[in-house]
Amino acid sequence: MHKLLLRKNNSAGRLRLLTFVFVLLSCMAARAQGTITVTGTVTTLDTGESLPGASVSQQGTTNGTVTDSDGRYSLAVPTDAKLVFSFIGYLEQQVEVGNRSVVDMVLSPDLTTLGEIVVVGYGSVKKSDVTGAVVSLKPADLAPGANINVIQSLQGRVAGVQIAQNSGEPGSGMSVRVRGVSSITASNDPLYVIDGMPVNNNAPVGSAGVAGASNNTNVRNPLNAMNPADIESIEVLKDASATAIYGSRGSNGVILITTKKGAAGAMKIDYNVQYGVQKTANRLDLLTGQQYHDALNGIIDAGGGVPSERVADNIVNTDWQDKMYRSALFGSHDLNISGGKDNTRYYTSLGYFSQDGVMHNSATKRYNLRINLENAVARKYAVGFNVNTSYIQDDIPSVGLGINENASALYAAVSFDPTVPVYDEQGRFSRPASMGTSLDNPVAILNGQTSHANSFRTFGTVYGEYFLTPALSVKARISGDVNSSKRNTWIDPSTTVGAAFGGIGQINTGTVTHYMGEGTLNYNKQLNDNHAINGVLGVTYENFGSETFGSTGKGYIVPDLTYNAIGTGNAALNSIGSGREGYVLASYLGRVNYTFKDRYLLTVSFRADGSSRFGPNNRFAYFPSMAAAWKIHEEAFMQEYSFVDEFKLRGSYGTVGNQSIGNYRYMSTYVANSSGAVFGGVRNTIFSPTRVPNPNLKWEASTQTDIGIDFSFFGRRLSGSVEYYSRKSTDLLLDVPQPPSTGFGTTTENVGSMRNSGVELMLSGDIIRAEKLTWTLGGNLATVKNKVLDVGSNSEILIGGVGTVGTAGIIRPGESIGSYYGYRILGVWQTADDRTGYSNAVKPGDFKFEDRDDNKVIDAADRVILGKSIPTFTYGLNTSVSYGNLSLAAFMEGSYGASILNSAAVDTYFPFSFRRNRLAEPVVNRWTPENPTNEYPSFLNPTSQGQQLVNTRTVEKASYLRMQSVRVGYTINVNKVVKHVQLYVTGQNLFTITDYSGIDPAANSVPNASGNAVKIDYSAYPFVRTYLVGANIQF
Amino acid sequence: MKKYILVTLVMLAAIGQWSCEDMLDTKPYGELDKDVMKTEAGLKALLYSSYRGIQNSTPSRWMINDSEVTTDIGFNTGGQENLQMSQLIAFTWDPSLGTFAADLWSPAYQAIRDANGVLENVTTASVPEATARLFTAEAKFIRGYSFELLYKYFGPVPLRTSSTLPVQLARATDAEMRSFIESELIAAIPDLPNPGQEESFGRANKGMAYAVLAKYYLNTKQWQKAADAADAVMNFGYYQLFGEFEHMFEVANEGNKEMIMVIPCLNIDGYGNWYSAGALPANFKTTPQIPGFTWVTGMANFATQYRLRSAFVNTYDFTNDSRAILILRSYVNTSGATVNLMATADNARSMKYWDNATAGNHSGNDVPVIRYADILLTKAEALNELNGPTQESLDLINAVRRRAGIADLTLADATDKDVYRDLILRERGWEFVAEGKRREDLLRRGTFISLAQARGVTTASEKHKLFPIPQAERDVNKIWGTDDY
Repeated sequence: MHKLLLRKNNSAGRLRLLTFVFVLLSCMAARAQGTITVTGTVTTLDTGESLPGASVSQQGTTNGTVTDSDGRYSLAVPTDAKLVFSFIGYLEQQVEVGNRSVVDMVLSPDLTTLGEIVVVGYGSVKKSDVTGAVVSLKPADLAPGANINVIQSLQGRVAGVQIAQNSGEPGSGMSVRVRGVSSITASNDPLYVIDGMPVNNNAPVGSAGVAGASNNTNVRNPLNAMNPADIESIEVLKDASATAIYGSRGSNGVILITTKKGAAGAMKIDYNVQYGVQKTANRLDLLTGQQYHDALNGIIDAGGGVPSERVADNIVNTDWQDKMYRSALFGSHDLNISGGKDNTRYYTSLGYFSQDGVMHNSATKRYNLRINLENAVARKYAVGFNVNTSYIQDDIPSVGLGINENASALYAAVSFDPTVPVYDEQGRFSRPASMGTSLDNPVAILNGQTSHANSFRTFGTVYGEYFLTPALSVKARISGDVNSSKRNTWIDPSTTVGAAFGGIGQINTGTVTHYMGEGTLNYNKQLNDNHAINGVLGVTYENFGSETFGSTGKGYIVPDLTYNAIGTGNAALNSIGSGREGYVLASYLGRVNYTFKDRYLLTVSFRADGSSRFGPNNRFAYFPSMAAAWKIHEEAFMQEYSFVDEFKLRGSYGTVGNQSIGNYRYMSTYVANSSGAVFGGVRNTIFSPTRVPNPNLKWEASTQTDIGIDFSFFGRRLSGSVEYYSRKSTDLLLDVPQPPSTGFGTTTENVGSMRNSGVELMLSGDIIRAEKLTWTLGGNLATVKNKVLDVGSNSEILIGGVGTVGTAGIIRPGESIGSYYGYRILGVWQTADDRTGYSNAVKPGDFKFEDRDDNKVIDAADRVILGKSIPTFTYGLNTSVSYGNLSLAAFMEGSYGASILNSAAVDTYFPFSFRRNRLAEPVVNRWTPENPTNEYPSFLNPTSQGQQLVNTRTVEKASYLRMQSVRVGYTINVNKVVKHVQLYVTGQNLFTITDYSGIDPAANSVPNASGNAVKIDYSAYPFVRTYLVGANIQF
Repeated sequence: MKKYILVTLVMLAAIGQWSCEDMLDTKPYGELDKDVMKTEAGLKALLYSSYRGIQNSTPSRWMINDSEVTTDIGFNTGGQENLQMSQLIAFTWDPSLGTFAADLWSPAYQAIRDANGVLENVTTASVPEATARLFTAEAKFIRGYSFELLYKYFGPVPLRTSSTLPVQLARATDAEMRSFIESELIAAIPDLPNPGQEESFGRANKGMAYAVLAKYYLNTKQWQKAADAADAVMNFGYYQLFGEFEHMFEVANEGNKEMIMVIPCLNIDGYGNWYSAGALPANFKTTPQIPGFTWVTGMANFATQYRLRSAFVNTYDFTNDSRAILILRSYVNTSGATVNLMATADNARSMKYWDNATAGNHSGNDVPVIRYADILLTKAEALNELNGPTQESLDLINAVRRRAGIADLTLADATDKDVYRDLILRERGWEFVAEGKRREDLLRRGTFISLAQARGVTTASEKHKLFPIPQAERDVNKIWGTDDY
C-alpha cells in the first residue's frame, strides 16, 4: 500500500510518505526507550465498520489520540501500558499492550448508553437528563422484515404503545394508541413529527363507495410515503411533560422521527436488497363442499331449513378462499450515499419497495428519494434542508363492509355455496340458485371490482440557525408537505353490481397540504459547576388544507375503456363533486430545563395554541407542564454501590390537548347538494343546514401524571425503566346525538371525561458480553386500564356496528371505552331442560341465553358487557445473539385480555339465508339429540329467540402471542472497497398463539368508524407470513 | 455570516406577523354562508330541501312494510331487513327498532326543520311578494303533511314549529297536535296553485293539500269534514282514475291524473324504489302474469322476501280483478322452471313496482302517497259512517271496482253500516296493497290488534296501536317517561 502512495505523484502522497517516514522513525526511537508505538484499527461490532474519531488513550495518563477517518490510530506507549478505547455510544474497552505493535479493537455498541442524545420536541437532551417518559429507539431496535412504514416495525417495541395493523393488506392503515384511548369522537392517533415538522397525516382520498359496491375502508397509511431505511432514530413521547410542548396535539402521544444525516468523512454507500415471498398466515376454517352437503341436509332432515333448499348430491368442491389468494412476492432496494467534507454533510437515498398482496389484485409499490443536506459549524451556525419525495402505486382489492349484493370478494368467498364450480358449463361465472341473486360469485367480484391509486407526496424542511453567542441561537424553519392522490375504481359489468349500471367508473382525487413557519430562540449554557440551563422559546404558524374531486360515470356500451375514458358512458348518469377545507394553528411555546449539580433536574414547558377549529369564544388554549428528576446515582452515598450505573427517579405533571375534529364546527352554514328534490322526474339542487353550530366549542384536555424510575446496573448489563401514569381527559370532544326532532343528527360538544392509567416496564439485559459471543434479551410490558367517567346527559352510548350488527358495543361510565355489549350464552337447551314460560318457538338445541330479568323473553334488557377491545396488557420480547460473524435476532409481541367481534361467527349462527356457507367447527359439531353439546346449537331455527348477534360466542377472546420476526444474518468483511456484506434471512409472523377462531386477533375492519371503540373482524384481509432473504452491502 | 443573521431575523419577523389572532379565521370553502337565505335562489333551495324530507324514495319500502307486515296482508322472511321486520310481525318491537327513527321520524322532522327555515327567512329575504306567499304556503303544507304523518304513526309528538325552540321539547297534547295539523293545512291552501298549475309535478297544489286533509280527517274519524275535503278534491275536476290498473304504476305512466301525491323515485342511487328488489322471489326471471317484465342480470333480488299473506291473497277474484294481475302467484325462474308461490303459505308477492329499467336495487316507479281512488273510497267510507250504506257511497266504491273489472256492489251486498265497513276495508286491501295503507285502515276499523291476536301474535296489545317514540329521540330529549309510548 505504501508503494501505491509512493507512486502517486501528488502533494498528498508526498505528505503521507513523509508522515510514514516520521512515524517509522518515531517507532524506532520509541522502541529504543522501552516504549512501543502501537497502531491498529478500531471497528464496531454492530456494523463492522471502522470507527473514526474514537478515543485511544493510555490508562491513567493524558497520553492519547483519536482514530482517523479510516478508524486507524497510532500511539506511543510504554510496553506495560493499558490502552483504553472509547467512543460515545459504545462500551469502553481496556487492553494490555504487552509486546504487540498492532492492537485492533472491536467496540460493541452500548444500547443503554447514558451519553446518547435524545430528540425531544423543539430540541434534544442527553439521555441521562431526560425528565419525561421518552422512549428512544434506533433502527437496530426495530423488528426487521417487509415493512413499508416504520410503524409496522415499531409494533411491540415500546411499552405503552399499542400498534396494530388493521389488516394484512399491503400498506394497510395502522392503529397506533399511546397509553390507551382518550377520546370518543376525536382522533386517538398520535402526532407524528418528522425532522421537526408535525405531519398532517390525513389521507387525501378516502374510501368512498361506488354505487353501493363494496368499499375498502382500510385507507392506506399516509406514512408509507417515508422509507424506514432513512430513519436514524425514533422517539416516543408519552407523558405530559414530553408532549405538552406540542400542546393541543399532544394528548395522544407524539412520535418523533429523525432521519439520517451524513457523517464527516469519506463517502459511504450503503445498499440493502431484500426479496421474499408471502403467504396467508391463516384462513377461515369453513365447511368444505362435502361437509356443507352433509351438515345442511342433516339440518333439513332434523326439521330445519326448507326441503327445497336441500344440497344436491353432485357436488363440486370449491374452496372459494383459495380462489382469492396467492403466494405473493416482495422486493425492496434501498441505496443511500452519505458523507461530509468541511462543514457540509449530506445524506441521500433512493428506495424501491414492491409488495404484492396475498389477495389477487392487491399490491403496493413505492419509489422514493430523500436528500438531507446541512452546512454547519458547531455553536456558530447551521443551514440545511431535508426533502422526501415519493410515488406510490396501490392496487386496492375488493375488501369492505358491504353485505349481500354489495359484498366484497372476501365476504362472498366466506359465504358462497362451496358445492358449485367457479364457472358453469358455458364458461360463465356460476351464480347458483342456492345463492339467489343476492350474493355474487366471489371470483367475479375479485376480478371485477378493483381500484388503483397513484399517490405523490413530497415534504421537507428548510432551516437556518445562527448563534448570537455560543449559548444563544435563533432558529427558523419553514416546512411544507403536499400529499396528492388519485384513485380510480372500476366496477365491471361482469359483476352483478356492474351489470346493473352498465359498468361504473369512478375517479377520486385529493390533495392534502400543510405548511408551517417556526421561529425559536434557544439557550444552552453550563453556568458553572452547579447550574446548567437549556431553554427554548418560539412561535409557530401552521396551515392545513385539503381538496377533493370525484366523478362517476355509468352506462358504458362496452366496458373496455373503464375509468380511462370516464366520460364516455351515459351522460345522464354522470356525477361530479368536489370539496375544500382548511384550518390554521398558531402557537407560542417555551421550555426550560434546569440542572443543578448534574443531579437535580427540572423541566417546565408551556404552549399556547390557537386553532381556527374553535369559535372566537375559546380559540386559544394553554398547556403547561412540569417535570423533575433526581439522579440518585450521582449522590455521594451511592458511590459505595458501584454496581449501580444509573438510578433516576422522575415525575411529571401537565396538561395536553386534542383538537382533531372536523373544521367549522362552530359555524352555522348551508351545504349544497346537487341531487336533491325531484319534481317532474328532474333532480333539483337543495341547500340544507349543515349542523347545529357550537360557538362555545373548546379543546379537549388531558391532565397526566407520570412517575418513573430509570435504572442501569452491573456495568449497564441490566437496564430499563418502570413507570406509572394516570391520564384524565375532560371536556371530551364528543359528537353528541341531537334529538332527531331537531332535524339534526349530532353536534360536537365538550362533554364527558375518561381516565387511562397503567404501569409500563422496559427491561434489557446483556446476558453474555464476550468478544465473540454476545446475547442480549429485552422485553417490555404495559398495562392499560381505561375507564369512562362521564358521557354527559346521555347515560350511555351504543356504538360500532357493521353488516347485520347494529351496535356491538357500549360506552358506559365505569367501564372501559370499547366494551362489547350483548347476550351471555349459558349453553344449549337440552331435551330434559324445563322451558316453562318460554315461547314454543324455543326448542332443545337452541342457545340458552342468560335471561337477566327472568321474563322468559330474551330481549334488549338481557344485554351485558361481554368484554373490551382494549387489552389488559401488551408485551414485547426481543433477543439477539451474535457469535462471530453470525447473528440472530428475534422479536415477539403479544396482547392479553382484549376481545374482538368475529363477524364470520355472527354469520354462522345467524346466516342471511340457509344456504350461506359458515365456519365448519360449530356446524359439524352441532347439537343433536345424540350429541347434546352445550357448545353449539342445532342450527334448526337460528332466530327462534330473535337475533342476538353480539353474544359470548361471537365476541371472542383476542389474546395472542406472535412471533413477529426472526432474522439470521452472516457478516463478511470483504475488502477495502466493499467494506462489509451482511447476508440474512428473515421470517415474519411465523406463528401466532391464540384461541381466536377468525382471521387474526389483531384485525380491525372498521378502523375509522369504531376505531375509538370496538374492534370487529369483518371479512378481514388475511395477515401474511413472509420469508425473505436480503443482503446489506456497504462500500 | 451577516446574511444568516439577516435571513433568520427576517424569518422570525415574518412568523411573528403570522401569529395574530385574525389569522385564525378560516373560510368554509365548500359551504354556504347563512346570508344565502336572503336570496330567492337560496330560499327556494331550502324549500326544496324541505321537500326532500318528504320525498323518501328509498325508505319508502319501509314505510310500506311498517304499515303492512303488522297487518293481515303483509309478511316477510329472510335477509337483513327481516331482523327488523320479524319484530314488527311479532309485535315485539321496542323504541330502538331502527326503522322508526330512520324511515319515519327523522325524515319528517328534517322536512319540518327546513320548512321552519323557509318560514323564518321568507320575511327577510328579497323575494317578490307572490313568491313569498307561495313559498310560505308550500312550507306550511310540508309541515302539515309531516306532522300528520308523525301523528299517524306515533300519536302526538313534539310540535317543533321554530328553530329556536329548546332542544328538550315535550310532546304536544292530542288537541294541540290535531289543531296544528288542521290549521296548518288549511292555512296553506289559499296560496297554493290549483292542480296542474304548479311549477312541476310534485310541487304542492291545492289538490294535494285537500287530499292530505281528507285522509287526516278520515283517520281521525271526522267523517263530515273528510267527506267535504274529498269533495273539494273531486270538485277540481282535474283528477281521474287511470284506465288500466295493472299499468298504473309503470314508470311510463308516472304523473297520471290519478296520482295526487307521490314519493318520486328514479332508478338511480339515492332515489331508487327498492320494493321490487325485496318482492321478487328467488331467481325470478319472468311471469306469465306480467309479460312486459323480464328480470335481467343487474337487477337486484334481495335475500329478504316481501311476501303477502295467503288469507288476504285468496280473497282476490283472480279471474276478473285486474288488480290481481300484480299479485305474483307463479313465475318462471332463471333455470326455466315454473315456481308456484301459492304452494307455500304466505308467499305471493306484490309486483306493483316492476320496472324493466331497474338498475341494481333501484326501480324508478313513484310510490303513491294519495291516489284519486283513495279519495273516492275516503268519501265512500265517510258517507257510510255518517249515513250508512247509500247509493251515493256505493257509486264511489263501484267506480274503483269497475276500473278493476269486477262487478258493482249493491245495497243488497252492503246490508248495513258494519257490513259495508268490511266491504270497504276489503276493497281498500285489494286496491292499496304495497302502498302502506293497511295499518291505518285497520286502526280505523278497530281490528288492528284483534287481527294480530287472531294470527297468534299474543304479545299484541292496545299500546301497539302506536309506534313508540324512537330511542334516538328519547335518548336525548329527556322529556319522555320510561313508558315506551
